[in-house]
Amino acid sequence: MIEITSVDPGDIESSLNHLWEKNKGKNRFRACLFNLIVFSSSQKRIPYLSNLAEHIIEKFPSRVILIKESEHETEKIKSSIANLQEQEGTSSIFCDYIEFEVGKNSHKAIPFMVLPHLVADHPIYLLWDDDPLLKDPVSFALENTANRTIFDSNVTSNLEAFAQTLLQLKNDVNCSVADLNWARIEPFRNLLTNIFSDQTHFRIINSARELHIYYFKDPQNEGSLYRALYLQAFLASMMGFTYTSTLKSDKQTHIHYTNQGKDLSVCLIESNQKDDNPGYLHKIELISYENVHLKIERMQNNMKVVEVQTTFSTHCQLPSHHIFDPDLNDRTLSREIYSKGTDPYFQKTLELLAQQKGL
Amino acid sequence: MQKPEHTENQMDNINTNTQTNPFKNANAQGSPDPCIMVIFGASGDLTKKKILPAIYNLKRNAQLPTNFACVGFARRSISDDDFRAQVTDHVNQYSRIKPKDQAEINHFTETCFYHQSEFEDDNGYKSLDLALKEIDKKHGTQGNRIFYLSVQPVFFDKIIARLKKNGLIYDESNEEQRFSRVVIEKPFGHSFDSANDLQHSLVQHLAENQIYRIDHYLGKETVQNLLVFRFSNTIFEGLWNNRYIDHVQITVAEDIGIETRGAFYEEEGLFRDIIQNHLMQLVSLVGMEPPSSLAPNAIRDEKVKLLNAIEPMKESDFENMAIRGQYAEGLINGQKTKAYRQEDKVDPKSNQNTFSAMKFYIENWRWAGVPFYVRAGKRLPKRTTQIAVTFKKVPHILFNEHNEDDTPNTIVFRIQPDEGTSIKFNSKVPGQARIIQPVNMDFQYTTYFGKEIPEAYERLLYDAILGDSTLFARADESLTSWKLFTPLLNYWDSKPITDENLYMSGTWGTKKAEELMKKDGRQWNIL
Repeated sequence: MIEITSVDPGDIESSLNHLWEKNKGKNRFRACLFNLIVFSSSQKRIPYLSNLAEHIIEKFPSRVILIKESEHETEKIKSSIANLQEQEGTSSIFCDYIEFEVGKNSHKAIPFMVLPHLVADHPIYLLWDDDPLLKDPVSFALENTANRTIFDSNVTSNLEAFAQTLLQLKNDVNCSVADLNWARIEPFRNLLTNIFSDQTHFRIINSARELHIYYFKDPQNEGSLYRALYLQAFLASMMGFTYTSTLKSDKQTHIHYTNQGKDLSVCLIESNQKDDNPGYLHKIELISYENVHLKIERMQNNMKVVEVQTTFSTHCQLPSHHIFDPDLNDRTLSREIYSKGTDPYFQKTLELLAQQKGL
Repeated sequence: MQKPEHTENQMDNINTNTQTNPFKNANAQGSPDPCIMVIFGASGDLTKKKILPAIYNLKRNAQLPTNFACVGFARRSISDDDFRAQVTDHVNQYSRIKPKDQAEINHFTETCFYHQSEFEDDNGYKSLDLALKEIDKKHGTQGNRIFYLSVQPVFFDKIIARLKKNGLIYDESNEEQRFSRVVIEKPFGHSFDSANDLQHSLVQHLAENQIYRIDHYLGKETVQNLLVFRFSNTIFEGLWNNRYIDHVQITVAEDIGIETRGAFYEEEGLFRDIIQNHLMQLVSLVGMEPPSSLAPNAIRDEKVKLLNAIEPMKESDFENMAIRGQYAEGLINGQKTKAYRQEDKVDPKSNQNTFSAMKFYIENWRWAGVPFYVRAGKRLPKRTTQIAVTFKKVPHILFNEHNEDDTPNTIVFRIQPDEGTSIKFNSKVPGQARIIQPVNMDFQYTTYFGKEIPEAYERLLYDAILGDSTLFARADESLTSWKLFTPLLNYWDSKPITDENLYMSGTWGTKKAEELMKKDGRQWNIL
């Protein structure tokens, strides 16, 4: 449990120093590898983001500056400080934690609050939990300063525009970009990469006729659809498929490609199946022109386990099983945040998504 | 009391008539001679916040001569006791180490005196001479004098001429072997011509080695450490050149505005206040060649040589290589702040600069092709002074995950606050993947040495008393710096400040300053 102390904004550094002085001799090491700035205008998301920050500092002790938005319109800025323990109760590594609460629509104050408290000469990672499409000059100011900006497309309303915005940001200010949803599909990406690195399966995807991705709808946002979109765009960009069109209906999104003159139809299907795991991608089906059927599906009785089965016209391969450990999820998210540089596969995926109208 | 034991040989050498006094050099820090320090401008801010607290701390640390007195000289009519009461208040408020009790401060103030006079009143100097001679008799200060001119430059000549006229300043070699020194504060002139004129007027009354030009940056431990770092560590000097260094950037940032110095700033501006002197001192220490010895002139010769090697800017370069700015309204520490033009005693249409950034080259074998980027400003996000020496990237990138370059190595000297030095290098993150993360090897003064760092003025006043001018600016240092920058300052004086020059308080200066580095494919370090 973090003990947070309210302080005046002008006393933040001295209060932090005082906190360290107070705990001198108690086997505490003050560590910082980079500055992690986290912003969210949604109070509901703060516990999730705080938890994420704590996972990050387990691997990379950093000064965490969390900025949240008050529900009220006020010019008054509240600030607090704390020491975060790398692993609660066990580690001797501690990091500085600074929290700001700014009034609703007082975003302009944020860079002024943050800039004085960046640890000099350390990388700056910005986790901006707002929709980048609703940009204001403030986020620009911080993005210009940040070495890396991480978004979460769960909060956006338009993935195509989101992709364009991220690409523009990367090009304009030379800041590496990332999306937590990209990290969330890492287990599937890794699995697909492993599968298709095999020549037999590579031939299957190279002659793909249909690709179906099934997902459980997340009631709070379009995140699960976006993850499905990412996954298909990942495969398409890896294979060099040429995008032709998009068509959306009630619970399905159809995206069409061509590959070496042949059509490929991708269908993202919102599953009706009731489930305790909203937001999951639960099945991928690939059918080739040679009628080979590849199925990748989470087991209904144990969603951590994914079964892969390939059925040829003349025979079936025995299914293989893979574990998608949910505990890995936070670690992959953390890794996405502290990784250096824009993942080239992510960039290629974004470039493809940026062309796909009507997402 | 027992007599000290000496060998026969030692007894032969202890002859009080010889010139070498063994006690003189027994103290590793040097043994200062008795003297009186007269502070002109005794009621000014610098005196109360810096000079008097510094003298007090020297006294506390037994670094003042046993026979020492301090005389405040100002226009106001107050008594010695009133002055002592003021000194007590100033020390209690501004000293880095507070007196524990009244007795402690009394030991200090009992040798503080006050002399009232106008700076231009000859009678005032006659009476000062009498007063000082009286103090010599009572306190054994032997006629040695240090005159600290904590006044506006316009009074320097007036005061020094009267001191000389009334026998308070001696010729350098006088029969009585007394010394008299004059300490003056920057700015040393307003331009090359005015600095030259000031120098001419000073040398009419004083020898160069009687003049102590204070640049308090030179008194900072961290600045003195630049020479130690460079010239007492083998591992760095071999890399300290254009084969390995990509660029050097220096920032002197303050979060405060001009406060009560509106009139001063309207005259001088930030460039004259900080860059022409403090910042160029840092440049010369970073760039100079190793001196042949630690003698004052050996070091200062090398600094002047470095300044002379800086390539002067042509007028066609002014717009591209030198940027100025003026702070507008903003937010600092959560508080709204006003624009420069709204400050007291500032013209609402002022064209003065409160921010400057510049790029230049040093044309010598060591530094050819290495850009130096410097910037300074008021109302920036935080108070910090830092020198960053950034090394070139590796010639062949092996670890380029995601085609990102490795972070270049950097040596950072934190001059203030959080005084120390850090070296940034790349390290592999433990794990399967080959992730490279820059890490810092860090030295902090307070952590390592575990005690308060002396204030710059303490060191400088001590050296002035000792007669060591190493940490004081020499005339040619100041003049060379003025010569370099006067054309630029004249150019700026002739051009109004436009919107492009304005920056919001609480930000890192103007957009053009950012572009100064960006167009070279570099960026200012995050501070």
